[in-house]
Amino acid sequence: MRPAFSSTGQAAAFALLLFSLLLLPLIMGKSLLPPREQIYSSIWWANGAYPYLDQQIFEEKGDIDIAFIGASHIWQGIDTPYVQKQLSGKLGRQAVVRTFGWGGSGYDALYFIAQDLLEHRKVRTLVYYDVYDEEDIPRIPHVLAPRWFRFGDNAEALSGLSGTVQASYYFASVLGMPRNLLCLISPNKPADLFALSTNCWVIKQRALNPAGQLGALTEMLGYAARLPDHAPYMEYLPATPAAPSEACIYSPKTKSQFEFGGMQLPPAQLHFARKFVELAKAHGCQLILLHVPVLSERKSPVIREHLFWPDMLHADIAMVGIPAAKLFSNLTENDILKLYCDQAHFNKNGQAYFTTLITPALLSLYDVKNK
Amino acid sequence: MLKINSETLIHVILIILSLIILWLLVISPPDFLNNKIIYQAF
Amino acid sequence: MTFVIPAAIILAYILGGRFIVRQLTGSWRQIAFAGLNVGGLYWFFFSGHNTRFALYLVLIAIQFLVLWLYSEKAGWLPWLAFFTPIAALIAIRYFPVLFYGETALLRGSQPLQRGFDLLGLSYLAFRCSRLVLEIRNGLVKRPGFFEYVNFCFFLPTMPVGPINSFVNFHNAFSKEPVNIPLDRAALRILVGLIKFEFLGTLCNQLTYTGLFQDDHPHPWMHLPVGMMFYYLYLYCNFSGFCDMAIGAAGIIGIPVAENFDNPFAARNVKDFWNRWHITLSVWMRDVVFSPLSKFMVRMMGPAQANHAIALTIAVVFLLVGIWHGVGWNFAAYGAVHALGVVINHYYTIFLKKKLGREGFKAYNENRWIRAAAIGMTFCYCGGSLLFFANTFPQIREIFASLR
Repeated sequence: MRPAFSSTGQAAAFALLLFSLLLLPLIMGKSLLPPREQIYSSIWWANGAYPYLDQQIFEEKGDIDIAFIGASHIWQGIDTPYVQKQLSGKLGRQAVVRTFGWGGSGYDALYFIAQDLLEHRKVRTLVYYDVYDEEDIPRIPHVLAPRWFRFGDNAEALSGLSGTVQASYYFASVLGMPRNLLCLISPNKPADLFALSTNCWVIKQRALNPAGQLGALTEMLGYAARLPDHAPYMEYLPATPAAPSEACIYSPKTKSQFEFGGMQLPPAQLHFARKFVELAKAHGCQLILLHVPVLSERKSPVIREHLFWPDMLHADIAMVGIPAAKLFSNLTENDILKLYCDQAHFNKNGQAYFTTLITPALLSLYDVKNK
Repeated sequence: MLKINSETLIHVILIILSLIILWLLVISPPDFLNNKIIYQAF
Repeated sequence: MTFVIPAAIILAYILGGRFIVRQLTGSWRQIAFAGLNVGGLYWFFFSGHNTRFALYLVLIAIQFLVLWLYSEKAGWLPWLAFFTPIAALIAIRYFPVLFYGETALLRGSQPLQRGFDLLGLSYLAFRCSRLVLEIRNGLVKRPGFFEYVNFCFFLPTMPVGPINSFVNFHNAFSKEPVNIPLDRAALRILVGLIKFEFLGTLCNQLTYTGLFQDDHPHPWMHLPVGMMFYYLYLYCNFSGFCDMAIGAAGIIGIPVAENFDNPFAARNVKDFWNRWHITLSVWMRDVVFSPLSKFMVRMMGPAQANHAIALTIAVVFLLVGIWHGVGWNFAAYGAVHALGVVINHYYTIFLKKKLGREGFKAYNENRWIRAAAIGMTFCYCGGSLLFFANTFPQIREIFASLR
């Protein structure tokens, strides 16, 4: 059997290659990295609305009144054009409401993408949801960390994390180096946001183009669409819907409608949740935690959250939601399924229904803070 | 004093670097390695 | 910690294999080793796919029966044993409906994507057919059933080769087996693992899937980048796995033929195939090129020998292409390499005529010419992988995304 290397020189060269690759993020630092917008323009639509995020974060300049930000539950949970229309009516001017959504839960993604957003645009109100998903425990780091985590840019965010987690993020930046180096030599072309022929959501998921929906993902899929015997999609609006007054904003009067506790957030997730809140505070953003109900809690008479967020994160966070039992009251099991495309994500019907009920509460919170 | 020739030294360095990389691979999510679509839409 | 159990089982396999091959004797050795290989193969690749695994076992049994009956016979009968594994490969790959009654599954799809798990089938077919030639050429005696099962299902080389010879395999069980230094084998495994998991992953960020499949427009610069990095990725992935297979086999005590020899230093496409997937090249040379070229020269006459060899080269590389996969893109891959080797063939003849022996030698030793040749070969071989890595619709999408 031949040895692994034909000469000592070859072995030394291999060792030097490994060493250089491991040190590349340190060598590149911050100054040698391409601009951060190159990151977003190299991520696939299938991973999230990154091309839209690229345009909204780095090209658009105006202030944002309300930004919905987070992973897929909120990305599919809110009919953003509807909220914008309602807010415009209330303010008497054209409001700016956007959704910044992506696939894959985790507070690290929320923090790093929010950081890019808030560094480039003024946002008055950030609406997010608890992106820690017990049913599909998010990995730390997020699987797309090799894309948007760069050691030169984001190293200070790791301080306070365990050595293993920090090493994992560092390794993510090592894996992301090839694409960053390519972007230095040959910058990405801007995406054509309205090229429907290349948008996988439009082609394969019967969705409206998120770029045309102010960032929201609106899928016209029946329940369990990804299974062979899935239900077909049909337009549906509950005949006897819940009332917007059923929406609850947490207060001493409404605290009986909320329940806190259950699974503890892992330390790394809590670390980034705290950093996200600190970031919002530093940029003067109002924070609203929105509860987006999943199918498994349809009979729940209360809004369940992992933590009492204001205390845990030492911040003024408004919490709002609709107890699922009230949201789905007067609806049969079949009717409820018409609102979802799977266990956790609203389809177009559910998005429209939920948004009409939750928007008045959101706007009243916006009103209070931005007078 | 123990004499180490250059070949052995380089192999030792290589093994240490390899073990560091393997440790980093082990502690990282496996999806890093496959460039998979994370939102399994289709 | 999801790696712990597979890593422990791999280690148990390697150490168990070493114990069996080195310490046990008699007929129990092959039986015990067969149990280890079959069990390992099932656990790693066929868990939950019992029907497919059973089909593989039936296939091996049929191949062994034909081998046993015909490999040592005179005349044309050994060719039955030779072609049985190849016929099985062709049938499974191109006619999967023979194995699956649900024709609806095949509508509009490539056979490769449906049905039968094709793990290592191409390598298995070539290993087993070559065994017949080794028996016929007197290099080795006909193996017993359990040794045949071990040769077929030897876990390190099952998924992606190398296409090891039975002579190599059998020598491990002889009275004087080859002694493979353990530290050398272990370092091979470690280096292979780093190439496969780390370097391959890094390169994969800039391959066709990593770079182009993102629904975005791309500058033209991305095309040669994708080509180059796919070439590097494939090398790290394939040679890395082979390093691990060779190292693991080495620890067990079974020598396995080398599959790579610094392919980026190839100065022409012919040289490339002496350095890349060497066991496939050797198989094609011994089983197809040698007999076919003799036949073609006889048919076309000695005056046309150069053209006869060129034709043989074209046939060989078309077969190389379609061996790699089902689809016209694989045939195109083979055709591109056929063209490259044929050009090299005629160019060599031209140079020898023009420069004479000494001039040709000087030409080959000129380092600037060598550097240019290596560069051009790298680009040619890297570019040809566009067809290997992508179907024609995917190639169209790649070009459509370029601005």
